[in-house]
Amino acid sequence: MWATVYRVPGEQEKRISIHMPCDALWWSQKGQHALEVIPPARQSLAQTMVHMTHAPHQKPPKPHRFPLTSPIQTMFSSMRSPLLRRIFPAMHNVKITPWMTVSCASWLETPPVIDDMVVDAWIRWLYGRWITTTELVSFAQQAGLPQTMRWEEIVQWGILRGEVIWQAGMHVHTKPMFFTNKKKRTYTCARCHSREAQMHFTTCPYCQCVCPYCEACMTMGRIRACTLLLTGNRPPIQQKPCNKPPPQPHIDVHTGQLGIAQRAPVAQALQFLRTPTAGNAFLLWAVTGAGKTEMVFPLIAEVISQGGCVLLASPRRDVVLELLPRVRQAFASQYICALYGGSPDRAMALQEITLATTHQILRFRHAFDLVIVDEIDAFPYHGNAMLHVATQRACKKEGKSIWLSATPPYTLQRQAKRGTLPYALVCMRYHGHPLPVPQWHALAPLASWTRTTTQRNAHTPPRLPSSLEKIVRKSVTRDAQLFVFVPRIADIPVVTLLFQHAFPQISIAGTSSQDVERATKVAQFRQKEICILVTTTILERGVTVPKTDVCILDAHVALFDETTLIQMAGRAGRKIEDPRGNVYFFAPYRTAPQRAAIAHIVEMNTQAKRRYPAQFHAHPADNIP
Amino acid sequence: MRGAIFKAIVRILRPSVSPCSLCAKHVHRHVTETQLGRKHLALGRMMCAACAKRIPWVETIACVHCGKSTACADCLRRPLSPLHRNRSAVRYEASMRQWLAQFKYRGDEKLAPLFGHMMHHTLDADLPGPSSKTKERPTVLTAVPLSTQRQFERGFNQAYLLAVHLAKTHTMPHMPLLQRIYDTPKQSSLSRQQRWTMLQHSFAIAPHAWVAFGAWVTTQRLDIPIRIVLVDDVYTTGSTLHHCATTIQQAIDRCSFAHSYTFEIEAVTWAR
Repeated sequence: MWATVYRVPGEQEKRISIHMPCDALWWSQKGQHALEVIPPARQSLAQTMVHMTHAPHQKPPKPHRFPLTSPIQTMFSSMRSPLLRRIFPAMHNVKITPWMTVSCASWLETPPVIDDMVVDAWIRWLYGRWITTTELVSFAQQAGLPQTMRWEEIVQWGILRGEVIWQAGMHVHTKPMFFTNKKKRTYTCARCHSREAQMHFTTCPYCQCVCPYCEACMTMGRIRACTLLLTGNRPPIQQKPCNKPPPQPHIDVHTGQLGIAQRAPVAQALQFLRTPTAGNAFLLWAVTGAGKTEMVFPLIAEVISQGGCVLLASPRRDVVLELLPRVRQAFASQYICALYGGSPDRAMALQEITLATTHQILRFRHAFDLVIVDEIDAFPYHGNAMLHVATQRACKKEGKSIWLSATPPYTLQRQAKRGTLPYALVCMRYHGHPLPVPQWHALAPLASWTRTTTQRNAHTPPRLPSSLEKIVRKSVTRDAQLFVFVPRIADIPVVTLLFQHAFPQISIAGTSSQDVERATKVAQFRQKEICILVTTTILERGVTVPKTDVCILDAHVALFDETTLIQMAGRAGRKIEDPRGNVYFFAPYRTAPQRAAIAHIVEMNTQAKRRYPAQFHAHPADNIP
Repeated sequence: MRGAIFKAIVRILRPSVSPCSLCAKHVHRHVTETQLGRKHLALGRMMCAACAKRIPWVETIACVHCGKSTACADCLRRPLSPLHRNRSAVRYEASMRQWLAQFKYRGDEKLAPLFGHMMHHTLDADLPGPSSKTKERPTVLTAVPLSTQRQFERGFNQAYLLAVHLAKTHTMPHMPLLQRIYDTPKQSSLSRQQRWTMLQHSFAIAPHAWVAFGAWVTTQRLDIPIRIVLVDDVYTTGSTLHHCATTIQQAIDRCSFAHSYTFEIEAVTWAR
């Protein structure tokens, strides 16, 4: 992308233009018939940013050391050579004047035709977006915006009116190097805030110099130092003062359907939304199967009734697709925009309710009054700085975010307990039954009984250990489906085979992240066509099947940490039809994560019993203190 | 200051483990090198062993003309062309398709050296003739050009990047002899017959490079044929490469040096 640095005569402020005829027209309409530009008149956008970071009274920055520079830069750099200085002594004394006065008429040979209706339509559509120019062009075409003007004219006119905010693809900053104190230019991606390590320098056809692109956010379209990122700050008409009914006090339509354990936390979250001083983030810590989605609906309803926009984000695409029909059912009057890789809604203007995967949020800026992030501890959101930046930026400055999790990261748990992060705990499932406490069984490691060449079973083929077989048979006789979790993908085929050998009349399948047919197998498992599913941690969340037991093999392996064990145990007993599933840990010895997971589940049950003694359906056999 | 010194010390002491360019997993160099064998040592630090294992190398050549590993009907069907032969590094299978998409369509330019290294041995694979070593044969590399508009959309020309890399590693001259004058629709969206007709007049000689080429040719020996090697990413039906070769052959026939020198136009592609 090319740009021009100019200023209005008599003013100190530097301005950047991507389409100079628009600026010439704008200023000549205001009575200025000449503008001052910094030569060369067309520069890479990345280089203009270097100009902007320097105050006008300072020395102009040194030009970039690009292989292909403008003729003027080449001329001056060649003057450094003593030989050339001797040949052209006169040129050596040329004084560099950074500003050159140019008449507006020189840009206005074919003046741009500005249609305010078109510009308005585009700028309204841009509201809350954070997209590159290539995305703008293709999305605008898909969205059916009027195409009578060139996009450069529309964008530049919007910038002049102050209604389009722009940013070069990378922040450029100079910092002194270690020891030598030489100034080094570094780049930070303006979209995902990745640093030097993610920058890759290549020759760029757009600015004809070497400029970096960001590797971290490349899946969302490549960003270079000379790319232009755009957003509009003029809200669409329907966002302006609303004539909607005022928010209902405390309990609205949707809250009525909530269980007893869900009501108080939802009230707390609503209170948090209503008090502007309560901070920006709120943690909703709800045990597995507590009915998080239903708890979110009143919060969404609250924000919409105030005329705001809500984003419901989830790290996984499957979860977005699963939530979509439920949200559409709950908010039948609104159009729900669903964004994921390859979704048909991607060119749509900002909607009141948006469902998106966390990657798609990179395309928004200051758009939402409430950002709800589901499963904050799940891959890829957890530990990914880029996605954290994205969710923060998508939220308005005075907006709020609510984080949902059954197993929040340790730092957040600590913050919550210390009181620095407002939170609410949902310790009981919506049906009021206790969380199934894992039963621990000693069993030799997987490797020892799946291997064929040990001395012990050299003459007999490997088979399922009898203790495991007995327990699985129990589940089968009570007509429950069974999740079998193993730590490694490589274990799946062997374990599946052994299960098939032991239970020949039952349909058994194995699936993993590398399985092409995973979606169909999970769907078959949901429809009870598959009874036993051998899998890895890939299915630890997001799958709800009515009547299931859970069996975790090799639970002592370091790969199964506390969070994973709790999530896997949470697959059992989620539905009211069978509120008490069985969870089994099979391991040769107890490890700290196993103990912690069991302790956590017992603790939640204890709290539930203490808080809601009347609604909690505990058996005496459960031994809940 | 103290922090900076500490960081510097850590940087010196830390083992230099680089992530795999394709799947971002840590690369243990010796594992990959064992996996790939001695032929591709340079690839060892770029990709992990799991990715290296997945490469479907072209091991046997069934079609002498186009370098396919299975029998091919394309070469029989096509009219006679000045393209002497084609050699490719890998078979164009689903996994390779994914890699190419990552490079070409998602724009991951850092993969160019990796692809270039994979193509390293295609340049001197089973050369015919008396002097079979690449070094002894005068060779010039040329990338298949993109139209200006397509290059602007994509941001780079993948064939050009590969050609530049090969030229650097083999110390051969690289000259952009061709330019694209008509923009054709994407090749992948056309049928075989359409491709052939659409491409008919879309290539031309780039005049400046041709002058440089002529000057270079006159410095070469008269008795050894000069190789002009076209570089591209994929050989699907070969229509692009054949048209490029025809354009170059026609230009050579018109030149004064055509009578004193012999030329062989070949192609090297990453996948077949």
